[in-house]
Amino acid sequence: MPKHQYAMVFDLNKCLGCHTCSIACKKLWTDGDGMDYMYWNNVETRPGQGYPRYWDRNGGGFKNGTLQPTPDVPPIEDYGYAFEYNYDDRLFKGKEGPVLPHKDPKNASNWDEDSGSLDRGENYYFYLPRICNHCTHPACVAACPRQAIYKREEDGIVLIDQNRCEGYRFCVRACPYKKLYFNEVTQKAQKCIFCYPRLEKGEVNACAKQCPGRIRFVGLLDDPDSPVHKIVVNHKAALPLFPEKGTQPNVYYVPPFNPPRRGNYGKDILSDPRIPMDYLVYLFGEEVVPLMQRLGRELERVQNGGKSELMQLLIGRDAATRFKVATPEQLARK
Amino acid sequence: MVKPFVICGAMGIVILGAATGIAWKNHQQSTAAQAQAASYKVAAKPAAQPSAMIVNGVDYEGQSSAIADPAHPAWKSTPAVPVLLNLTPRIYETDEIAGAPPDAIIRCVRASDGTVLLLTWNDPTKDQPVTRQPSPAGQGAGVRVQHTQMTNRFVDSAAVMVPVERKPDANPCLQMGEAGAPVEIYFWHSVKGPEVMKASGRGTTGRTGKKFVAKTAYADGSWQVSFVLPNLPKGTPVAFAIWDGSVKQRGGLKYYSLWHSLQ
Repeated sequence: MPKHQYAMVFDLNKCLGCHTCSIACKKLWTDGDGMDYMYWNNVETRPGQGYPRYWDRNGGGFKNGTLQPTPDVPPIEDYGYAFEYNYDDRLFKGKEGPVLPHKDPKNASNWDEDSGSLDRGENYYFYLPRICNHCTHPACVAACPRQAIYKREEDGIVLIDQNRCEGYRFCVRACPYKKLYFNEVTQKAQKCIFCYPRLEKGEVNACAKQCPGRIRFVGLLDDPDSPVHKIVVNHKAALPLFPEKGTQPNVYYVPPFNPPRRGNYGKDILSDPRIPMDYLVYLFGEEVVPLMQRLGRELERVQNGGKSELMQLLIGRDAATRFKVATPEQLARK
Repeated sequence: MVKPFVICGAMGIVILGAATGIAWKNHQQSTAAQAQAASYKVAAKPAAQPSAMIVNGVDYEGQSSAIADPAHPAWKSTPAVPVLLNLTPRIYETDEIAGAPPDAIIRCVRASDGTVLLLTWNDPTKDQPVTRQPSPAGQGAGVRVQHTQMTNRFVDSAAVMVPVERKPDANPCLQMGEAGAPVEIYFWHSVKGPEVMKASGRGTTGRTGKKFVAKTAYADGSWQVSFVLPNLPKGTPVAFAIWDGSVKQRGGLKYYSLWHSLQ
């Protein structure tokens, strides 16, 4: 177990699906050779196929302590290959015709954006932003025969030593969240680094910093003053994705309510929810049901003019409320 | 010397089969020698302990750089020794067993400045995707970066393992050496090229930063890879490994040989 553990909380009620986080990450970390198809941070519409396609149905993680790797590494078609536009031909070489992608796009990280699903004739969907979960029991670390992946002692961030990695991709198969990516140009696996170089300079993660919806909360899970500790530990208002995969993720989600269904005047948001509770149970486990009820009560209190520390915290207007980057002294302490 | 070698090789397989037992039950046998080994009754006690398999080197008056080319005519007159390969066990029980050991031969030439080993094996699929080297700083040339074309293809590779120190009584463990008996691995990767690795047991393999010369040719469903090693004294044990990318072999999933003795 690491001395400390960084964690991130996403309030899915506030995510507007703008992909600013994905672009912030892409511009900062994955604009190099062979990284074109990688989104260390992606935003997928739920219900939906996800990125890579059907990652949530293909196994991974542990069952009774035993690794359950997916049969194969997802093919590039499941991620969607990056396409380039022929701006050169059209704008500078005088060629006729429209600007087109160099390959016919067949899939992408947000291919089925805003499609969602139907429940009794009404559409529902929400956005699920995803990064590496920097798990407490990472399946990738367990699967790597090279011991190239390690969890940092001081803050629990999971990293791939690019010098030790040989690109075997056992980690890609083992991760239940498919958050490790193979770079074919360098023949190595790469993944979200939780912006550790930024954190070490006292600056919060790029995805969190750039988020216009201010949905992200960052801090040490074991620091009582951090927003993530308050939301996850004190208020128990956020849950990890697919807890049954046995890796103990350190990214937590405040589950979404969505607006009321049409014509349900007088009913509260939980007695006639737009998002079927079964789907939230599928993503976050059975605990999501009492959690939604608690959140609903807090919401109701505020709507009736009362005060709620949790709701105030989740509004998170200021960076100081949402982020608490650990100091070196804090990380050095046991 | 070829005939005794084949006998030793077959006995080597019997010993291996007996030692590793059921893990090998399902593996297909591809060479005549292996078929012979399969019918051999283990109950009959071998008359003597099988000696290490022997690869006789041929002296070559010239630089290793000249003979490194697999097409060099001198290789034609160099005796070829069959290399018996075995498939390592699966890593996960849920995985299918894929692949069957290819036919392989090894030739050895002693040049003035090094020992050159030419490993030849049949592989109907050439798994050597053309990916260019990363551009400086990995940032692509101009606006565009190089793309990852496929995420789930694996490449052909081969390696020669040599003990760091020659001990007369015992060879290092075949599984990448062991503590106190380190090995050097001359690893050729069909995309990344040749690189010298070192190891002292499973999972300890690391880079040395050293390169070596390896030259390759692929024709008619067959790989030829030459390994230019430092001068190896007679009696040096060498072991071989081959990875077939088309059946997703990498790391511990591979074909491997027992220790051979360079003479």
